[in-house]
Parts: sequence; C-alpha cells; structure tokens
Amino acid sequence: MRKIGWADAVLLLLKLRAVLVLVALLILFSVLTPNFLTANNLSILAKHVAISALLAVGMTFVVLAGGIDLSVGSVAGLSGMVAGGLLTVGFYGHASGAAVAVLIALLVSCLVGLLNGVMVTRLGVAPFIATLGTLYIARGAALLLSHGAAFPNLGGSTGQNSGFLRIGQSFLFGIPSPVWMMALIAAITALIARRTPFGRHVYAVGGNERAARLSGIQVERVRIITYVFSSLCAGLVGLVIASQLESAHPATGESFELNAIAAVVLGGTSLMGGRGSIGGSLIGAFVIGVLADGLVMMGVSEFWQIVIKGVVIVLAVTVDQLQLRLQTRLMPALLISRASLGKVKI
Amino acid sequence: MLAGCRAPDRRLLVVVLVPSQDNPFFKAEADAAAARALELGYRVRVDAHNDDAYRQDNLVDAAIASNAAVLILDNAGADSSVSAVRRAARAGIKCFLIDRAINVTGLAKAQILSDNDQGAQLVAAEFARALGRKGDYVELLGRESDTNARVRTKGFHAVLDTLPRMKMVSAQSANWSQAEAFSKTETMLQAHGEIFGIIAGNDTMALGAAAAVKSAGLKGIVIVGFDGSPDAIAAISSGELEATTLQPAVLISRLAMDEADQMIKTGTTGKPELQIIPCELVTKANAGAYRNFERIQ
Amino acid sequence: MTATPQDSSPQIVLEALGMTKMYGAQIALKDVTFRVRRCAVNVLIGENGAGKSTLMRLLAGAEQASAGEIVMDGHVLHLRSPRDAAAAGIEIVHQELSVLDNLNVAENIFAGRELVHAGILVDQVNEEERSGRALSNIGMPMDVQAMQFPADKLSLGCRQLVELARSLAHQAKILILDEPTSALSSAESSVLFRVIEDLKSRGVAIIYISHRLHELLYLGDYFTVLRDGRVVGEGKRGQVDRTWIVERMSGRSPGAAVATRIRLQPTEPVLEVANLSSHQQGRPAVNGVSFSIGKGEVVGIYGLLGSGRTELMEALAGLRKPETGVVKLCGNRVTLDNVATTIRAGITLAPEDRQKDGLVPDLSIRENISLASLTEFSRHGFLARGDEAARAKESAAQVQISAFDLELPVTTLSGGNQQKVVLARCLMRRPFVLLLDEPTRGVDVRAKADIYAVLRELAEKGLSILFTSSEMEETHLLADRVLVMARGSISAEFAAAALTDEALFAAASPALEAQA
Repeated sequence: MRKIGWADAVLLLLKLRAVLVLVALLILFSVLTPNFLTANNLSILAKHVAISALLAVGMTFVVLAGGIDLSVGSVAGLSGMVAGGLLTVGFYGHASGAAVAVLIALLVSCLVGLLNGVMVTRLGVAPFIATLGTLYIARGAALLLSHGAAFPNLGGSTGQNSGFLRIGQSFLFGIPSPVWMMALIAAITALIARRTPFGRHVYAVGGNERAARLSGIQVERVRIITYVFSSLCAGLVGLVIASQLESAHPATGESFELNAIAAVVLGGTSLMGGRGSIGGSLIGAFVIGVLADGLVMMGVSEFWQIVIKGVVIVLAVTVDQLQLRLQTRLMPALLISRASLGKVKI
Repeated sequence: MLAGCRAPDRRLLVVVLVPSQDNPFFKAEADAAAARALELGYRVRVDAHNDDAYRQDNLVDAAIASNAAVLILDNAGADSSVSAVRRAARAGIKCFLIDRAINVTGLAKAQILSDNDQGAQLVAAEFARALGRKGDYVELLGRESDTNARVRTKGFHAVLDTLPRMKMVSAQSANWSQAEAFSKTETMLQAHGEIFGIIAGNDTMALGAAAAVKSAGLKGIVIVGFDGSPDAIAAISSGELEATTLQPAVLISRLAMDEADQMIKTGTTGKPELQIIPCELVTKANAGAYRNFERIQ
Repeated sequence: MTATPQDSSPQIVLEALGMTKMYGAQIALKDVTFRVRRCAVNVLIGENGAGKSTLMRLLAGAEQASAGEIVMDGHVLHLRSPRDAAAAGIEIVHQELSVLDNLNVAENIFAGRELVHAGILVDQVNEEERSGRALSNIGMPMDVQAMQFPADKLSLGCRQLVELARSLAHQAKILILDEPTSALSSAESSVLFRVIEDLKSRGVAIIYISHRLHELLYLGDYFTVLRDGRVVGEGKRGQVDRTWIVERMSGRSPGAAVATRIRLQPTEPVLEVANLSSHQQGRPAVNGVSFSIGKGEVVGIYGLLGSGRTELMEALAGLRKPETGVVKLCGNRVTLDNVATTIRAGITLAPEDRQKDGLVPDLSIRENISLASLTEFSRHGFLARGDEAARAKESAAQVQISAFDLELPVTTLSGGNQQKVVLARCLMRRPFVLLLDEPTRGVDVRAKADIYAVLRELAEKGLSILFTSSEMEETHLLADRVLVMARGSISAEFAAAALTDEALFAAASPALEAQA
C-alpha cells in the first residue's frame, strides 16, 4: 500500500508540474524584487499574460484536434490594422464607429481562420504549411492596408472612439479588461472542451481521426471550427493591443505564434493532438509571462531572457515525456490501488 | 505604358534598398531618394531587405543583373554588408550608403550618415535639462545587435553619466517595437517606485512608453525619443513626449542622389567619402517647423 | 548458401525450442518447438491468432521470447533486433509489404544496408547491378529503366517480388514468407511458386505461412499446425492431406455438426444491397455484389485477405464511396456519402483494426464508449455527464467489459475488452444493422466466447448482423448464412447447416483451386 501511495503522489506531482513551476517562479521573484508581489504589479502582469493566454487558448483547440496554427501573430496584426484603418480612414472617407470597426476586424480574422480550415480539411494541405502561408498573407495584407505605416491616434481627435480604447484600457473591480477577457474566454472554452459534445469531438479527432470518423463525427467541420476559433482569439488580441497603444502597427504580433505554442506545450498539451487541456495552456502562458516580467524587473539582459525561456520550454517537454513513460510503468500499481479503494469490477 | 513597350526605356536605373518599408523613417528615406532620382531623369526600383544580410545579398545580385547604374543603400549591418557592396562596386555600380556606414572605406562613392552620436547627446542634454539634472530614469534600448542602438545608448550615457544626481535604475531592450516598449515600461514602472524620466532609442519605443505611462495614470514623466517621426512630433506638440532628435533622412537621400548624378556626369562627387550630417533637436517650441523627417521652414 | 547439400534427407538448419511468448497476462505462444529444414518448404498453418505471426516475429528478431531458445547450426542465437536476424541469414517477407513507395527498386533492395564508396557515398552502380541480378534470379528480369521508377508505380505482385529480391540479395539461409500470395494474381502466384522451387534447390530453407490450403499442399514438404499458441500437429509431405490439416486447425473433425442453436427462418429483409462496386487504386476491390440480410439474421462473409471483404464493409459504412450500387435499409434507400449519414440511418461498423481505426487512446473507456452517441446526452449544448456515465456503464455491462473503472484510459484494457468497447460504442447508437469486420481478431478465447454470446443475444432481439471472418470456426459458430467472397465478388452462399470447411476453402479461392 505504501508503494502505491508513492506512485500516486509522484504522478500527481508531475501532473501539477506547471503549477509548481509557476508557484516557484512567483516565490523566487517576490524574494528577488521588492515590488513584485504588489496588487498593482500582479494586475499588470496578468494583463501582459492575457495577450499570450488568449492566443494559447485558441491554439489549444487547434493542437488538440491534431493541427497547428502559425498564423495567429499575423492575424492579430491584421485585425488591429483593419480596426485602425476603419476608425481613422474608413470607407471612402467615412470613418466607422468603434462597434463596426471591431466587428469587421473580428470577421476578417475569422475569414483567415476559415481559409486555414478549408485548406487543411478540403484541400489536404498540411496544417504547418497552410498556416505558414496565411502567416505571410495576413502580414502582407496588414502592410498593404496602410502602405506600411501605422494608424496613429485611434482614440480620435475629439475622443469619438473612446469606446474602442475601453477594450484594452478599462477596469472592472480594479482588474484590467484584457484579464477579464482572458478569464471569461478560458472559462467558456474549458467548459466547451470538457462538457460539450464538440469538445469531446475535438479530443477524438486529435486522438484518432479514423476512429472519430467511424463514430460519425464530422472531422472536417470540427477541424475548421478550431481554426476559426483560434483566429477569432488572435483577432481579439490584435484589438486589445491596438486599443492599449491607441495606434495600430502592421508589424504587431510578429512571433506571437511561437509564444502561444510554447504556452500550449508548457501546459502539457501534446503536439500530436488528443491530449491536453485549456487550463494547462493558461498556466503555461502564466509561466512564460511571469518569467518575462520577472526577469525585466530584475534587470536581466534581453539575451539571457531568451536563453532562459528556451531552457524552460525544453525542460517542460522533457518532463512531459517522463510523465508519460512513468504513467505507463506505474499503471498496474494504480489499477490495484483503484481496485482496493472499492471501485470493483463491473 | 504603350510607348514604353515600343521604345525601351533608355534611362539609367537607380536601385534604392532600405531596411523596411513599414517604418516611416525608412519609407521617407526611400521616397525622397526615389523622387529625386525621377526628377533627375533616372528609372528607380525600391526594395526592402528587412535587416536580413542574406536578403540584401540577393537584392544586390538582382541589381547587378539588371545593370543598375546607382545603388543607394541603407545597409543590413556594418560588417555583413561589406561583401555585397564590394560585389556591386566591382560590377561598376556606383554605391552610395545612407543612414548606416559599413566598416570598410574605398568601396562606396560616398557614405552619408546622420550623426547618431551627436543626435543622442543632443536629446540626452535636453532630457537632463527637462528633469532639472536630477532623478531616477529608465532606458529603452533598440535591438541590441544593431549598431545604431549601441551608438545611441553610448551618446546618451556620454551626457547623462556626467551628471551625479541622475541615476539609471533599469535598462531593457524593446527591440524597436511599440507593443514591447509598452509592456516592458509597465513592468519597469512597477519594479521601480519613483521614475521621473524615460529615454528611448527610437520614437516608436518612446510612444509605447508614453502609452504605458498614460495607462498607469502617471503624469509629469519626461519621455524622449530619437528619429523625429511624424507621430512623435505630433506627440511632442500635444505634450506626451518631451523631445526627440530629427535625423535628416530626406536631406541625406537627396544629397546621395545629387552626388550620384554628379558622379555620372562628371566622374566625381567633389566630396569626401564619409559625410556626417548633424541631427536636429525637436521640442514643443519648434515642432511646427518639421514634417516627415525634414525641416520645412 | 555456402554449400549445396548433396544428401537426400535434408538436415535441420534451425530449431526453435520451447518458445513461449506472453503479452502481459495473455499467452501468445506456449512451449512451441519448431524445426526448419534446409532445401525444403516448411509450412506453418493455423487460424488467425494461433500464434504463427508471433513465432515468426521471434525468429526475425522483431520481438524477444519470454522463454525458449533458437539454435542455428549448433549455436544458440540471440536475436535482439531484425539486424541480428539478418546477420544470421534469416530474412522475412512480411504480409504487409514493407516496400518503401518513394524509393526505386535498387534503393529498396538495399534500404538500410546501402553499399558505399569510401565510407560515405552510395555506390549506385553496384547496387543496381546486384539488384538486377537478384531480380533475374527470381525470374523477374527488369531493365535498368524500369528500376528507376519509384516502387509505388509497380503492381502489387511486382512489389512482392521486389521484397523477395531484397531478402535474396542478402544471402538468406532462411526465408520466411508470411502470406505471400494474399495480394497476388494467379499468374503472379505461379511465378512465385517457381521462384520458391528454385530457391529450394539452391539450399535455402523456406518457412511458408498461408491460409490457402491448396498452396500449402502443393508446395509444402514439412507441416506444422498451431492452435491457440500450441503445436497440435506435425507431418511430412505424403502423410498430410486436406482433412488432416483442417481437423487440426479447427480442432474438430470436418464433418461434425457444429450447429448449436436452431437457425432462424428467413424473415423480411432489413438490408438490401444490389450491384455494389468499389474501386481501389484503379482495381475493382468490390465487384457487383448483391445480397440481403433479414431482421435478426447473422450473415458471415468468409474471404481471404485481399478478397474485398474489408472494402465491402467500408463501403457499407460510408467510409468509401461506391461507384455503383443501391443500398436499401428497411426499404428506404441509403446514400453512402459519409459515415455520419450511415450511422444516422442505422448502420454502424466495428472496424477490423482496433488500434488504427477503433479506439481513441487518449480518452477513457467511458469516453470511447459514448463517442458516437454524444448528441443523445446533450442538454442545452452541454453533456449530461450523469446520463452519459449511466449509459456507458449499461453498455459496458451489456457486452461484458471487465474493467476496474470506466474512467481509466482505454489502453489499460486487454485486446478482447478493447474490442468490446468498440462493440459497445456501436450498440449505443441502437443500429438496425451492425457491421463487424473480423470481430475477434487478436482476441483471447474467453473474450471470443463472450463476444459470440453477446452477438447471438442481440440477433435474437432483432438486430441484423453482417460480419467478415477469415476463421472457419468463427464462421460456423456465429453465422446463420455464409457468403464467400473471392476477388471482389460473392463466389458462393451457404446456409449454416449445409456448411463444411472443405467447401468454404474451395469457394474462397476458386481461381487457384482450378490451377492447383
């Protein structure tokens, strides 16, 4: 019995490793930098994390279904530029209101996702290639919108677009709006992943596509929806950034996709699909965000920050493999422990 | 167009290569060179190498292949660009380097640069003046592998490090990016209680810092940038930024093209290879006199 | 092939002594002793799951025995990898071809053992020359031009021969052929038989595995029959005949009555299939098949590998779109566009390959069972987990899954229980017609009996079942009526009572039967 308890404990620790790393980082930075553990800083930290977390949540669905989405950074840039262009220049000199600009920017983002999904499912293009293509297409489109320039002063000269600025700048109960968005979207998607037929379908498609198809699951539709959702999250991120900066830059979001994938992987989601969780990705995004901000506060050089981030990702994936192997080895012991707990054969 | 099809365009070709076309500074630089070349009766091709020495190599090869007469280049690295410039020079192309130098002389007909060091010292002095020569400040660095980022920070510190009551509490790279400057400034403002000034290696980062300061609800923090971009000058007029230093990009491009024209017509530029053009300080007092990297009054 | 033996009584080249192999708690081989003689075709016979493939995997070094040893020419061999086996002169030609489609013939023959110049560069000329020699040795001379084609441009038969040439180019002393003719046309098969005769005369020991009795009798010199992981018969050419083999394979005498229950009288048809055809890579896999199944009737399709049985099942399940044919369910036409449509209509398939097509390894047992029925538990878009768990438990009990906890990963179950999970998933949709492709492949005896019992019970409640099998015993035990498929068509139909093993075999390979 003692040995079985030990096996359970080891697996639990490994399963919670991302949380443990996060807690360790929080403690480390609180000790090393005096102002780290203040309400104000934590709120700003969460705001920074929200950007990569939103991307990671969208990416998680794609990865769970066995795909990958490299276009999210570019889509974020495009979405901000579409909104920026509509707010400042508009159609034929008629600048749009904030609501219209937001809706159209999100719609354009979804269209990119739809393109990704259709290429992957109907045309049989490998996800890596299809989304690499849209990475360039969306970035190029963002640059074309303004011939390379930024759209400045999105608030408007008379403050007519203050609604748009509220997307990224307002507070509710002292918590910044992007953090609310992250919490809300993560909660909803976690619920979808765990508690709806669609969520189960996503896991099944990523775990064994042929088995999913034989079970009557419409594999193509599931895949397309995951890509559209990922692009929608990316579009939202683009709007949040444009709103925070009060200007839209065509280069916004470069290499964001790598941060999002890193967060997903840190959270224990398998890039082969079928295994992982939204909560894991959220924690992964927090680990990356806390690490980045903490190192900045400590005054560590940019170059070291990059190295440390890489080391953390590699370690996380290594431990992930270790957990899988250990789990297989300890499974007999676990089976016995379950049986002894009274869950008998049915 | 039809006329062009019948009789081939016999005008000489000028190739303009700049780091990117999605940055207002490089765009102004490229536009000015192209406009002057057309005025002087040349054909023009403009391209961007995205600070990628390899891509620059390919673009230079393409210029050689299309038998260009003049190459106006804002290069992708002081060392990594030498071979490309040498190849172009050997192929008989007259090379004019603008904005950034290379580490070898004798290859280009002229290297016309704005004085980054002088400009940095100019804006740092104004920064110190606005702060009353005292107080904690933070610095936002450009991409640390970039020569200009290093020259500028050196210029800043040549002035600021002589002032005993000014103290830099943190320095972070924001890689020339506004979004990154925004989040890093937010974090630095948290880490260090009383910050009175932010000095940034370019205007884009200065604007990101200004947005972060505004978002934190702070007032009276002195922020200065570098470049003299239109957005920054607008922000100086509205009081969000204190000052910037304007690199005379348009002037430099026109000089380069004029000298190239002279070279083709007379065989000499009549000027030394290395020409340093001083930067100009822009503050609220004179902001109205500048537009798009050039003085208009 | 160093010496050509002159003596008339071929000597034993390899002995596998007391081989035992366990997979977890499941015994695949128990104390099997198998002797391989030089200059002879050593036939290994047994139904699916009898342990033939396991024994071959041990000899080829792909797996290690739990107990027992392999002795070759007086030395004990320690085969830790296929490389070790190849070094000892043991080569295997797999049932599933392992020809690399993207490489050309010579590259295939030397894949993994490339000839090199100066330690780094591939010696292409030499490789092509030796490949050419190996191919003409097996009676398939190929010009240099044709050898440049990637292997996927070759016919199945050609690829089989390329694989054979690969083994021979490496001086095999023992050549294992696992179901070599399953994908071959009869002309291609006779080429293969000539090659085998030739190899035999050159001193190679051949281990030959096949389900096709006439081939075995035609080629074999020594016969070993496996059943349930044990050797149940050994004989020499001349002592062995068809009856001898069938008796030992199935464990009963062929004439004995096997009908254990009163078969159903014909009822109104539930599934009617008319003139169904489906192509695979340009060749007809299913060719104008027509039949019908009554309510509560269990129909078996008996056919060898490559007979088109799996393709027929996949077409009926909506996995592959047929070129022609009409399928009616309870009188209404069903379009076979995709699986979702056929499942909704009431036809569901439990596939042949559980790991590849059936289970989602990352999901729990419960989640695997309910996978096809999730909309049933959907309340306002969310899964009602109580309902789901209850129904999953009910279905698990219905097919007698033995598991500690339905929340455990499905991969913790044994093969038999995994198959029951797939079955439970199909049944949860309450289909009218259940399609089962090889329902008990790789399943242990007890689980087999459970599955048969469950299926019979379901049939009595009115479910129509269509299953394929390549096991005679299974076909006997389960079917009310048997259709035999060969080369894409139905070649015979038997009522259960009129069924004999002999007739099954004959109908399953009519073209070759005539020849042999």
